[in-house]
Amino acid sequence: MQSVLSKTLLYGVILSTSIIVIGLVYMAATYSSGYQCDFTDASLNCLLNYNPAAIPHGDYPNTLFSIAAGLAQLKPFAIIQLGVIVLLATPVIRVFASLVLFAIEKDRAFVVITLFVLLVLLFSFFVVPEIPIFKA
Amino acid sequence: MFLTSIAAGAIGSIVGIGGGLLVTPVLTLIFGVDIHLAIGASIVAIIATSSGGAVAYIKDRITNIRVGMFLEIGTTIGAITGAAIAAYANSSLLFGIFGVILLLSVVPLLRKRTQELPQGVVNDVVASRLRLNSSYPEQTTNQEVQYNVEGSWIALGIMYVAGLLSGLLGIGSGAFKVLGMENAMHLPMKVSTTTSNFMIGVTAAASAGIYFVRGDVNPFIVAPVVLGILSGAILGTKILVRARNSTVRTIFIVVLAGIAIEMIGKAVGILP
Repeated sequence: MQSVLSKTLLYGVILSTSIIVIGLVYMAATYSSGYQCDFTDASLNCLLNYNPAAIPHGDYPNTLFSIAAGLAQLKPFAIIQLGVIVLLATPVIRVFASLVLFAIEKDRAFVVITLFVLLVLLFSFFVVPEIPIFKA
Repeated sequence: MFLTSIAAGAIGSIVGIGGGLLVTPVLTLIFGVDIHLAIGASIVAIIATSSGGAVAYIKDRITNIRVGMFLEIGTTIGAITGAAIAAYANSSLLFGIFGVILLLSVVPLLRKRTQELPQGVVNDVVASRLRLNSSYPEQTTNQEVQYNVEGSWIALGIMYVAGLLSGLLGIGSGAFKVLGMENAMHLPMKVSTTTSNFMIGVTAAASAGIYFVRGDVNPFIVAPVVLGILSGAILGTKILVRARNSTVRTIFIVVLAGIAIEMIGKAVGILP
C-alpha cells in the first residue's frame, strides 16, 4: 500500500522537476523569460519586483489560462510555472491516492476522513481563488 | 538561492518543518526579495519539502498516514478559519505569542532529550477505534518498533490551532504539528517529524491556490528554491533514517529555538 503511494508522489515530483528544468534550460538558451521583463535589463531588478497590477500580462503568468496561453507560445516562464503547478498538485494527488487505498481496504472511517480533507483542498484550489477579495 | 535552499530542504525534511520560516528570512534578508514573493516562494518550498521527503518516508513506513490524515481534519478546518479572519489579525502579536509558546515548548523537549522511545503509552479510545497505533523500522537498532497513540483529541485541537496559524500567517506550522504529536500523542520522535512532513504539504496546498493567483509565485525565484529544496529534502531523508530518535530531537530543539527567536524578532519589528 505504502509503496504505491510513495511511487505516485515520486512520479509527481520527477515530473514537476523535469518541467521546471526544461523551462530553465529553455530560458537560458533563449536568454529571455518570454514576458515583459527579460535579461536585456542588466540589473534584473524587474524580475524581483512585486507588481501585482502588471501580471498576467506583465512578468509571469499566474492563472491556468495565462499559463496555457504562454505554453502555446513556448514562453520559458510559463513552462516553469507549469512545473510549479504540478508540484502544488502533489499533496492533492497524495490525498486522493490515500482515499483510493482506504476504499480498497474498506476502511469506512478513513474514507470519510480522507474525502473530507480532499474536498477542502479542492475547494481551496478551485473555489477560493475565484472569490473577488482574494484576486489580485 | 539554490544552495541555501538545499540546506533548508535538508533541515526541513529531518525536522518535519516546512521551511517557510527558514526560506522567507533568507530570501528577504539575504537576497532582498519582496516579502510577498518570499512568502509565495516559501509556500511552494513547503510543498517541495513535504513531497520530496514523503517519497522516502512513506516507502520506509516511518510516516503514520492514518494519524496524519486524522489530524488533517483539524489542520484544514483551522486553515480555512485562519484565512477567513486573516484580514482582522494583528500579525506582530501573533508572531510574538507563537514565538513565546515555542520557546516554552523547548522545556519538556529538553527533559526528554536522551529518551529514545516513549514508554508506557497506551492507545486511547480514538486511537483504538481508528487503529492509529502502528510500528516502524528503526535502522539504528535494526528492530521493528511498535508504538501506541494517546491524546488524540488534544492533538486534534493543537492541529486546529496550527492550521489557524497557517492560514493567518502564511506558514506551514510544522513546528506546532511536531510538538503536538510529540508532547500530546507521545509518538516516537521520528514518526512525529515524518508525519508532520507529510501533513505540512497538505496544509500549504490549501493556501497555495490563493497565493498563486495573487501573483505571489514568481518563477524566477521559485525555480532555484524548489530544485534546491527537493535536493535537500532527499538528502535529509537519508540522514533521518540513519539517525537516532534522540539526535532528531536535538536537531529539532535547536531549530525550534531559532524559529522562536525569529518570531519574536518579527513581533518586535527587527525582522520582516
